Amino acid sequence: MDRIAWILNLREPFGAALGRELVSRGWKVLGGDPGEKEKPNSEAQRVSGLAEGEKIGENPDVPTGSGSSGFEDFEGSMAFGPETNGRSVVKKSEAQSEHSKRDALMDRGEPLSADNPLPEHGKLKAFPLNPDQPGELERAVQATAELATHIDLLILNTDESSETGGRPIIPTDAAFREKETGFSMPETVESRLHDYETYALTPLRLVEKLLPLMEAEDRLKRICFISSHEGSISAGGASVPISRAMARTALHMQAKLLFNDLRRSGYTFRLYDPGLSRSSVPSSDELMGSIPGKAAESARFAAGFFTNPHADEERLVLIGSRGEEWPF
Amino acid sequence: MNTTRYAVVTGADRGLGFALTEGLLERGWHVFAGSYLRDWHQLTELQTRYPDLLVVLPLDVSSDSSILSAAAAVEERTRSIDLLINNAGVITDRSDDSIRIAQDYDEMIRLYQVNALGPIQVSEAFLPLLEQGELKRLCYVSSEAGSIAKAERTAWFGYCMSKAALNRGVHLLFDRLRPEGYTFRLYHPGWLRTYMSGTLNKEAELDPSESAEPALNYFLGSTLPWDEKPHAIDEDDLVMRDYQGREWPF
Repeated sequence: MDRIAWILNLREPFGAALGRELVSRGWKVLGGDPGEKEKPNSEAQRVSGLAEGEKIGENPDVPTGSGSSGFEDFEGSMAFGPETNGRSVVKKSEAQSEHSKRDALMDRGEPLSADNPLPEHGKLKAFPLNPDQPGELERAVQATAELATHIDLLILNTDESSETGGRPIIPTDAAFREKETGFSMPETVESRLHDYETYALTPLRLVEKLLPLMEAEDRLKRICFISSHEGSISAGGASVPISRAMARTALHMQAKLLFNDLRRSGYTFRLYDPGLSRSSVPSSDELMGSIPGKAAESARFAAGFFTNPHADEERLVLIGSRGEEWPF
Repeated sequence: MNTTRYAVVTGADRGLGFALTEGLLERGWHVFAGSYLRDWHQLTELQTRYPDLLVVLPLDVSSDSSILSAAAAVEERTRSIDLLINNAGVITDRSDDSIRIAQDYDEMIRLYQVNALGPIQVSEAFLPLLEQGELKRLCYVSSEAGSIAKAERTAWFGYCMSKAALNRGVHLLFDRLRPEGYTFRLYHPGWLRTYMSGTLNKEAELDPSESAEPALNYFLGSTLPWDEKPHAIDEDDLVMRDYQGREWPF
């Protein structure tokens, strides 16, 4: 039976690199992303053979299964290029046409069957998922349920390695507290609550909604949280926005409470810091250049960490991308 | 040396906040007591006993405008404060809902606003007044429920997440402000017979006054790191202590 992973923020650089890495290891990958746009299932799309899954970077001209992160394969277009930057409109092989046919079936919401399996390896499928949009989370969950009979690996990627990823753009008229407090943080109550929603509540909402798809006895039943050492109470440091740090800590507590509850039902957990938080990136000049490589390397480690058994499944710890352990 | 001491206490209407306020007044402190409940009169009665020491102010810690108004009102009466006690907190009767039950996210946001963001925003608003004070002490009533390392619950998402986040926020403030001379206290008060959920919890272990006494000893305690007292305080190491002086891991 297919091994299926579901990734939050699948277009975000780390999410995309991880998705690609899992695909290269034979996994089917679904996910939600705020950048994913609802696309009409047009006749032109079907004729062109442009498959839905391809728009997050799948390049059918490049063989998968290399064990690479995928970023090298895609020349960066997966994460940073426009959707039209793909090379998928060039000659299509028969296999591609088959992919396209399956995608068309999926787009019409037809259930999985022998004639309509999930796309073969090399396929990823992203749903629109902007938690700020009412009902979008429910629609993404519904779309997932229509496509997949189960989820083995739920990856709650709240990380951000792009300038705006995972974080609201602060209104230009936002009051800066620096004058009063000495803190150079343009944070408003709204932005602080938004951080809580982004880093803590959205993952919990997804666990609640997707848990029924993970319950089968013979499946992996693994939930992975992508976080940051910024959320470490004692070692997170002071050079991060306070509300983001607090929200990440809330996520760590959430992971622990779920761990306490669900491990009794056979679930296992991972809590991972990919080392890509903006506070971890050394300089603005290196920012765009360093992220893809770091994301690829970190995703490669994460894919192994998430899919392999762990020596001690009875203990939840925050692990960094070099295997280091961070205190809560 | 100025011997007049000023304190601000949030959530002072009843429970632990009231007991802390009363304890400070008994020790001769001037107290600005943040009041959230208009129809609860314990503070009014206390004011008749301490008319020169107690000022009651409207204060909803989940409202930025209320916090700023309270800070302005204090600033009208004094140029400095020495002690800020962030006590206000709430809990929900939906705590026991497991993840297999539909969660109440609006309630989680309310808990986060009051328990986590509130104390941070109150601290930010009162920093200019604390800056002028002698003690520069920031105190936070947290909870063992915020200890991730010791967490054994299987639900309580809203409350535990809010208290863990509070601990992180306090530690971040500590990292930033300790070099400027501020000192910090993080306190787990125990399971109290209070109205945190809206109604009196009669099953809990302690009366608020039983926790307020050790709390004040801790909040006002020596700043000397090695004074040979049972719970010597190292000001350069932020820890969470409970009413028995025990340290809780984060």
